[in-house]
Amino acid sequence: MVSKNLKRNGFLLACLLPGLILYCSLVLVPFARTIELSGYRFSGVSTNRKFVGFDNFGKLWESEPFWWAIRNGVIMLLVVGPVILGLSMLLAHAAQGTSRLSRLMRTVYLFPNLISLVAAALIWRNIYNPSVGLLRGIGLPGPQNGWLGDLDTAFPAFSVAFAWVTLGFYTMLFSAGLAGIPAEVHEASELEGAHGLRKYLLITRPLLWSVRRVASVHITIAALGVFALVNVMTDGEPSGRTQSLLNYLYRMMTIEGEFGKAAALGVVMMVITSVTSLMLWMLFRRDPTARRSA
Amino acid sequence: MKSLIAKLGMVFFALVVVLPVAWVFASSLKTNQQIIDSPFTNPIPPHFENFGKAWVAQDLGSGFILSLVVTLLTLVFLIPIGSMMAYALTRYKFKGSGFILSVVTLGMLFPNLLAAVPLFIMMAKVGWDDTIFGLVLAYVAYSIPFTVFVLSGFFSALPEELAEAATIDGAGHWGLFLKVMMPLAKPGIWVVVIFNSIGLWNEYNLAKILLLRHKTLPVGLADLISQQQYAGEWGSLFAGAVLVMLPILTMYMILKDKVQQAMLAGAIK
Repeated sequence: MVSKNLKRNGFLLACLLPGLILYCSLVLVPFARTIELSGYRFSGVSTNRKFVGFDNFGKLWESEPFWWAIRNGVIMLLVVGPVILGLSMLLAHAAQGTSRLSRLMRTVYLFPNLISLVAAALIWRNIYNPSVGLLRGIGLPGPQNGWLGDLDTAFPAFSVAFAWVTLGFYTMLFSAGLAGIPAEVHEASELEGAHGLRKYLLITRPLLWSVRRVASVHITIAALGVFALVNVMTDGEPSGRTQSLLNYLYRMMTIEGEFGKAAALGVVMMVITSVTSLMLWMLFRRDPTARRSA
Repeated sequence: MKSLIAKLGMVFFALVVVLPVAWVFASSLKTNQQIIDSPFTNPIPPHFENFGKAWVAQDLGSGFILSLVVTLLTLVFLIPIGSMMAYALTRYKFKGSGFILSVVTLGMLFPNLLAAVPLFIMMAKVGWDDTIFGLVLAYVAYSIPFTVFVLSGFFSALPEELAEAATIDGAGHWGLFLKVMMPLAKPGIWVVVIFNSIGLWNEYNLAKILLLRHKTLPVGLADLISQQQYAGEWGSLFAGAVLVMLPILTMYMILKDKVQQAMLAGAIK
């Protein structure tokens, strides 16, 4: 009996230890240490750290790029994200069925999501490029410094690129959700006279509740976690107008050499990400298809 | 019956998706002058020398090989480690198994760069910064949450009777896991292999933070992009973009359904 238990526990340890050691030492501990390091002023690997309390957070509060990054994050969450989800819901409805066009679309729509973000950034830099770009080629060179160089158009132009990268993924997600609704539900609702928008609002939308919840949380994480696309497309320019929180964090780690401030920004982002995801989860908590009466 | 608007919308969207990608492929075959002249110049006859320039002169060849090595090495460690974890956490009941599973999958919520400062310091302290070994370790660690999350779904769906039958036939813990459960979880292994290959091949954040002398293909390409405004080597730049896109798009065209299933796996549960 004892040896049987020993064998079982030995097996479990052998299965769990390698992964847990890696995960704890390289993921959990660094995340926790980000909180600790946010209280120090230091640069690089030097052991010369000075404890400064909440000073790094105060500095962040006073820095302009931080507020541009926050502004952009808020616009991403409240405007860009919902627009992307709305468009992809429409596209998913359009792409239903087995026609050749629908099948073609359900093949190509994932391209932008699969290719490297660096390649996507290259594509969009060159679409907007005022001297050799695709938009210039069709007579839309944009403002004097180009679409990405102008204070007013830079962020909208960046958002279009972000939408291009992500739209297909959410279309696929909603397509899968729509395909999961049994045919009888459609037939029954058509018989009852529900068509078009009415059918969507009364039948489809509530049934897609869990998919919409997943999509909302997913796009929140994606929108707040923007890094490579900003880093390669604009590096936050012009004057912070396209800055993202992670690109600013990277900038502080590398160019400014302010490791403590970078850690403080990391903490701020942990809080923002958790709070937003939690709020979304609460918002979608009630299953609209569940029985109302208790 | 599909309305005209839906059809037009799909055609428009398909063009918006395909044209920029096709434009990169076309530009990779043009001379610098053709690219500067107009986006619509004819790429025929093709100038394949752009790829030679990108591979050798722009040093993207070593980036391509490094990305390939790092992706494969990570998978070699990740798949056994991830499946063992998922299997032990779902098929065995012990105190804390649920807790461990939720702590591990919680890692999917936060971008890895939030831990960049301590991770960089830690790697530098043990001398693994700027090494392929250090990068692979970090890749394995940060790929564990998704891998364990997906595989635990597959393992927990396997019928208990099979395990019982195998145990009666005298299979031990390892025998049951390797000979019975792993083959049954094959669809799940496919999902994590495909999803992680795409993510690792394209990975940018950690490679940018942890490597200095070596550059993976995405990081090398990104550096070229920022130098391009001075160098003006457009042809080889687009060739570099083709180098990073082509392996993934080829895999997608061959394994379309499996890739789509893999991309959905992290989201639909």
